[in-house]
Amino acid sequence: MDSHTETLLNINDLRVYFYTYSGTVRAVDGVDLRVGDSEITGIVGESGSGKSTLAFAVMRLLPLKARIVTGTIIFEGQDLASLSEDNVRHVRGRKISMVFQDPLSFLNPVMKIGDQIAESMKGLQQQEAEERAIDLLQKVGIPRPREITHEYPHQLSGGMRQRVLIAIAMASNPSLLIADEPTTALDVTVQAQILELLKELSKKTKTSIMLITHDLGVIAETCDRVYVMYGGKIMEYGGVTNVFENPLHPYTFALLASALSIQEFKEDLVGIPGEIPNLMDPPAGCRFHPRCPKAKAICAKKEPELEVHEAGHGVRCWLYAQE
Amino acid sequence: MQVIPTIFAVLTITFLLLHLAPGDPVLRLIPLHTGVSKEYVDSIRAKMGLDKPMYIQFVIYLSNLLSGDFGYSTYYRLPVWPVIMAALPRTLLIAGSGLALSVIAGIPMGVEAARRTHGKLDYLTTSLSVAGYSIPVFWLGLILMIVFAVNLHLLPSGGMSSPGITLTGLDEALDVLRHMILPTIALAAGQVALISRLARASTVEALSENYVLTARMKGLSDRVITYRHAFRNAILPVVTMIGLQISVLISAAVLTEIVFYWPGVGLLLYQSLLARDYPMLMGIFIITSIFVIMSNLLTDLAYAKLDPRITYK
Amino acid sequence: MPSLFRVRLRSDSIKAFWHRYSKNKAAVAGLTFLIFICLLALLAPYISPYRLMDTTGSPLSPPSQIHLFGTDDLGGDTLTGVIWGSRASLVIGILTAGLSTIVGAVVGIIAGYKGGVIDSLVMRSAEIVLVIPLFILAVVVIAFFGSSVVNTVLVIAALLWPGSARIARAEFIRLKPLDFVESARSTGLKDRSIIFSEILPNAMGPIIVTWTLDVAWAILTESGLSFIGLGDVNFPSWGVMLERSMHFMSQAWWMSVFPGLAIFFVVFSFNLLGDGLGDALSPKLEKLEKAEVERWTPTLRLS
Repeated sequence: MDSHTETLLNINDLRVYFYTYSGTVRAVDGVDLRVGDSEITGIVGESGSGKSTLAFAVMRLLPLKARIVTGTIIFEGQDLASLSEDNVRHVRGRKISMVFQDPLSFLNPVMKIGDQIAESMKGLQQQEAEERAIDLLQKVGIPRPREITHEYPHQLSGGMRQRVLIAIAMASNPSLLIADEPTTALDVTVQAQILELLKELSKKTKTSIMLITHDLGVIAETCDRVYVMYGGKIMEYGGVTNVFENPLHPYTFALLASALSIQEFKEDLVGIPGEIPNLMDPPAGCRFHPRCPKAKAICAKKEPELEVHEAGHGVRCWLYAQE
Repeated sequence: MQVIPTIFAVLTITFLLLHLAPGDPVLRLIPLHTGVSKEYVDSIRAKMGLDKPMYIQFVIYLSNLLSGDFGYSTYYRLPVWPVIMAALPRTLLIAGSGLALSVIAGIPMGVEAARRTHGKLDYLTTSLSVAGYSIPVFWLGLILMIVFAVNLHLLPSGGMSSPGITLTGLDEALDVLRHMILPTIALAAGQVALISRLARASTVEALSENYVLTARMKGLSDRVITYRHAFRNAILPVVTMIGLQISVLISAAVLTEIVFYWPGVGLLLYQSLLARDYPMLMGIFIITSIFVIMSNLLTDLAYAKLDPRITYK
Repeated sequence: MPSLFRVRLRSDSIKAFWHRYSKNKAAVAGLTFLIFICLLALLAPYISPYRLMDTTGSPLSPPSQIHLFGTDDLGGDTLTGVIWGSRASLVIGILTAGLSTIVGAVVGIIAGYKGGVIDSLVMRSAEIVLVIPLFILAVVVIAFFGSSVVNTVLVIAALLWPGSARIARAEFIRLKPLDFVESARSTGLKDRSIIFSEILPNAMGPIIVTWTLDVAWAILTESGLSFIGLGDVNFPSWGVMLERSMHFMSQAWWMSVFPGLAIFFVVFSFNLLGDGLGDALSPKLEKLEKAEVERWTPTLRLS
């Protein structure tokens, strides 16, 4: 753990399981994670790695079929995992906000933009709330904010809608902003703008951001630290520069290689052979071993622990652990 | 929705009925029981242009209607239009009240059932609603009448006002209100069933949408999320359905009026049927159809107002 | 005619269907009741306590041991009337809905197939028919043409066809671009045969559901028309009985209650049957289940 910053959010051994008709899905299966003050922490993984579930668990926005089985989520002295729903509502939307992936479906189509932003602001007069909403829209870079407050989501472009979602999230001055794939549904050109916006806001308002994505490029652009997630567990973590320059876990290595091969238009695109694990019945031992080019005999039998390798850089892999 | 073609279709159907049905059309247009002079019959024949080719007759027919001439009631010996227009508001009184009652009762029931699916209210709503629209409305009216009027003497047994007394002002209004209760309930029963069922389904659907998640993220309360966010979206299909139900409601009102002897268009239809008053029958069909068409137009406009994604041309 | 994707009524697919259908207890109850009523109608001459139209008791006497449902104004047994009435109501209802479903389905498929002008023409007419107050039109038509079973069936069917037309057309549009149609076409089958051997069997589900709900509606409408006096006295349905009962409202409640109750239960059962079939056949149930599973809502149970 980087000892330079204070810890804002501290997740310890979190397990979130989905109880479905066909079986129990262990979406998050023992995650330890820290987000520091005024820090942008990234969580990267393929779809199905459990990263979104992790985000929703922190917000206590899990669907009815999911449960936090065990673990703690310490935020400002409280364990969010064990709070009652009533108490969580005081934290949610005030101290912790979330920005979602698809700006169109996450905005109410029949409500005006201004009203949807004003809702996040509690206890303000009509006039005041309106002014603040216009102010917020301006801060997130929306032109003609006063007119936009009277418009509806379908009248805006994708990028604008995402800015609105960000405005909604920032309206209550949260200390932590969780962004779940905020750029995935947007055009490439707009993606960069939104990421810039997030970085700027974080710096200006000292808001920490927990950024969920599958795109390593996004991590490289925005984050200070990164957690690599696979099969419901953390495989590697550390400062972004460290992890990218010196990827320890074979999975991280593979992710980087594949991303680079796309980026540099290499002849052969590098993929990762095999499929993501079935979280209802995960492989024994290390979850990545069926697809790992460096798997040893022990990898199929025993699961490695998440251990610190060097300052602030940890990995869960038998290549580094002392057996 | 195409207003003009629909009205045109209605008029065409009426015209065809008059001319395609077995028998002499003229005989349907004149009072039969008292002797009418041959000159009168001939004048009617000439007016309708019955000696001319069919399409000219149709044009004459249309121009008569457009000038407000809906023919002469063979039973009342009065022009058809004023008689119907006097009766129509009375029908609208119970139909409108029935609809209002079913909306006021049905929507909250459906929404609340959606908030507690598989709860007690939900099972109650779901099982009652199918039953609700399976009941023949006139039978329900009969039963209500038998129970409340005949046996319990709680409410009047028919008519719009108490016979024999002349009341004014508030007393008159209250008297009419008492007479209105049973027919309105009979009409509302079937509608409540449909409305609450649809309200429930569309609220469940709305509550599973992503913007509800955003609302939860804001820390809003249960009630606010349901009634401010979900409701505004869930109400849209319900409005559409209400539009579709208007014609059903009018038909139901006809039957209800007969049971309760309520002096509206339905009772008029019944009496005209017994008296074989064909001009009146045709007039009722045309006017009620136009009314339904206009109401549908209003409903479409209302929908366009409620859904900002729709612009009405 | 060779078919590359014939819908086969294999025994296991019937079993699977029944498994889904029987999850809905109300639907099963409805089906059971309908079977009972059909038997009643078929065996009417053998089950009814008296002969129809016989005056066997004193007029307007309340339910008793010899007349379980009481007697009418002429002394006829109400129970007998109700049992025999099932024939009229069921036959008229089923025939009418059958006619409108067949006509509607054909029209709907043609509209979907031809597209263009024919399609919009059909859809416009469907809209118009749906807007018009159907009952009033039915009354007026029968007033002009005379009240008989045939007229009643024709009029009601003429007003019901848009429902099945829309469903058939929607199904056609849904099925047309699918693979099995393409493969059928590539083997050189003519369009007309494809429609009948490939598409229609797969569209049958929603069409049958529409038919069921239409029967319910037809029975209600026929009762209403009979109630007004436009029913056929020679083939008395429950609606005809109710027309008589209205005049004796204050003296003989049993004349009104029992025939109406019969209408209610039959219509209710058809509606339950239709709903049950619809749920068992269509993926909409899965969609609703999905909405339940993935629902984020606060309600009263949370994680």
